[in-house]
Amino acid sequence: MSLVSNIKLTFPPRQPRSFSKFFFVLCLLAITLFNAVDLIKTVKDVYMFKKVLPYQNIGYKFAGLEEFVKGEEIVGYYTDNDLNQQEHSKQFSHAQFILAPTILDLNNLEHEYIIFFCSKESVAWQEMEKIGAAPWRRNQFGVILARKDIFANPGSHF
Amino acid sequence: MFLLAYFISFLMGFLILHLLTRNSKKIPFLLIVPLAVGIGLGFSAAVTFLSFLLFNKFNPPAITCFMLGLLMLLFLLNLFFHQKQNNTPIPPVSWDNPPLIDLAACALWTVLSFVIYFIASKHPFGQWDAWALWNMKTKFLVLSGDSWRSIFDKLHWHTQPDYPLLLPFINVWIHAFSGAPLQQISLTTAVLFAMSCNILLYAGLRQFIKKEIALLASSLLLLHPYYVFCATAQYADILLAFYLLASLIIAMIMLTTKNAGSAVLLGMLLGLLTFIKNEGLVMMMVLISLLVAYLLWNKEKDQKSSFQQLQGIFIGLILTIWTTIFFKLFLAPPNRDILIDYAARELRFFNGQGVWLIFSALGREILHERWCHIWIFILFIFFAGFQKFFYKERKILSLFFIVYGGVVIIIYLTTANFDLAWRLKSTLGRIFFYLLPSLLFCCFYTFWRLPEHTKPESPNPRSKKKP
Repeated sequence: MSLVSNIKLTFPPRQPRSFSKFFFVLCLLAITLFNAVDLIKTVKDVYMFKKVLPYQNIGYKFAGLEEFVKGEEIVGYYTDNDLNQQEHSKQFSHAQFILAPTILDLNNLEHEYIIFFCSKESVAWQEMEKIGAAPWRRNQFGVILARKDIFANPGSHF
Repeated sequence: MFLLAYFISFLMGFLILHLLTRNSKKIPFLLIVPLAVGIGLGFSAAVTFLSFLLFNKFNPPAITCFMLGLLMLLFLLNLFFHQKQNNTPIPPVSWDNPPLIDLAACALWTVLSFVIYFIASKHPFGQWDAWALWNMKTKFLVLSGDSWRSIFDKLHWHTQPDYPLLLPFINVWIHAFSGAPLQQISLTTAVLFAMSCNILLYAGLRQFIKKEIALLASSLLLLHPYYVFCATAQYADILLAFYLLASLIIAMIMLTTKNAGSAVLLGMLLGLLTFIKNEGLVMMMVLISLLVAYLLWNKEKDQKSSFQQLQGIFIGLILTIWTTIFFKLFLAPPNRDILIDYAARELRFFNGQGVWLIFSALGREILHERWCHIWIFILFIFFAGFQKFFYKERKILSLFFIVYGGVVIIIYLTTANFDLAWRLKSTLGRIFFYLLPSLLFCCFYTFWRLPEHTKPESPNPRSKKKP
């Protein structure tokens, strides 16, 4: 019993010895200095990067389409790319960001408006033919905004 | 104009803090500044969320009126309570001792805030998850009119529809008041929280340890390239880092001063923590459980004051957690990664291979060069002062990290929709990031804490040489 009480009495931890304190402060200073050097390098890298590419361009491949889907709550988004691959899912996210608040319904061809972002433009044309849609707008990057009932009101949107 | 919106939020936070601490010793000014930013922006987001619920769309005049009305109410409450106690409504700022270290810290932060803003401006839209999730949702809330609830049921699951919306609502409030471009607001919010988190670490540590060491800890964090990268990436993780750190600091202040006002403040911070991300909900539950256990079962504690503190925590919690409760009950879909039907799914990683994958990923992350050896340093401190990490109120901090780590490991083991290796690779770094400021606080607080009778402001008696 007395041993147990002795252990309890010594439980409150001692303050760190001055040597270990000094050692840790020294480590701390060294790491902080290394970090400062790394941060300066980062700043230089950012400066060089901004010289080459002054703007971050998100969703530029879908540029110009936002004004044509304005007011539409949901549009379809068709792609033959594998969205499990990071680069392709990134393009879908780009499209959603640039076209928000319009919602993109992935690979749903039931909507009136459908965005075709395919590996080849010929794939998009084949799909449009299958579902009876026609291209309504196409931007310089080959992204097509198609409309399904375009033949019902020919010429009304050109 | 948009800076004025941030200032209004700051003022609101300041008035809330001043109201809460009216019966107690003043919270030092340096600690009030980052706390006021956090509390003020958190309440602004809650008010903005309320306006969406009431008007069912983005309504800038209503949001502005609500905010100004709340500000006026807080001012009147401060005036009333402080007149009653013959206090001045605005607390005096005390500069008794020449605060050379404080001035050095302020100079460092001023310079570094420009550096960090410059680094952040490389990606004005933020990193992937920032623009794909948080900034997209902000844009959606602002532009979608009365179909804003489509965020929860119609957007693709990639956009994590179940995630709470504190960060988007903060940015929506600033936009509602100023009309400034959304990308400028998101960038400023990220930089503001990155700086506030750092000031909070310094000001929090300064209550318990020597100022010089607190400044070193703060520099260690703010000069860390990967911390700066993640903090300015415009993810919600910097908010998690900030509110968790604030909660832990206020918890330690509450336990050492037994102050009811600090308990209410702690409750508020924990409530806001839950509205950032689902991780915040787990953090709140772990911390509250530990605090309840500590206050109720600690025989050294006065039972009456323990109950008062618990009461304070729950009052504060109710003031802010209503946002998360409403959000989770009536708006958000269930989380597809955590609240899945375990019986119906095969848990591919709930085995030895999963454990091996997790621990090898943890090892790689700790040793990863992007962290500049900071985790090795933290581990050294932990082993050097192992006993102290489980002493008195400090055990709450240590147990919090142990329990939270355990929960994270269980969540990883029950991964069903992804490849575990990919999930670890893409999320572990972020978990390390949002825990870093709090872990630094825990290590420095535990290792360098002055004896309780020694105030950090007064000269340290042990440093005096005997004649």
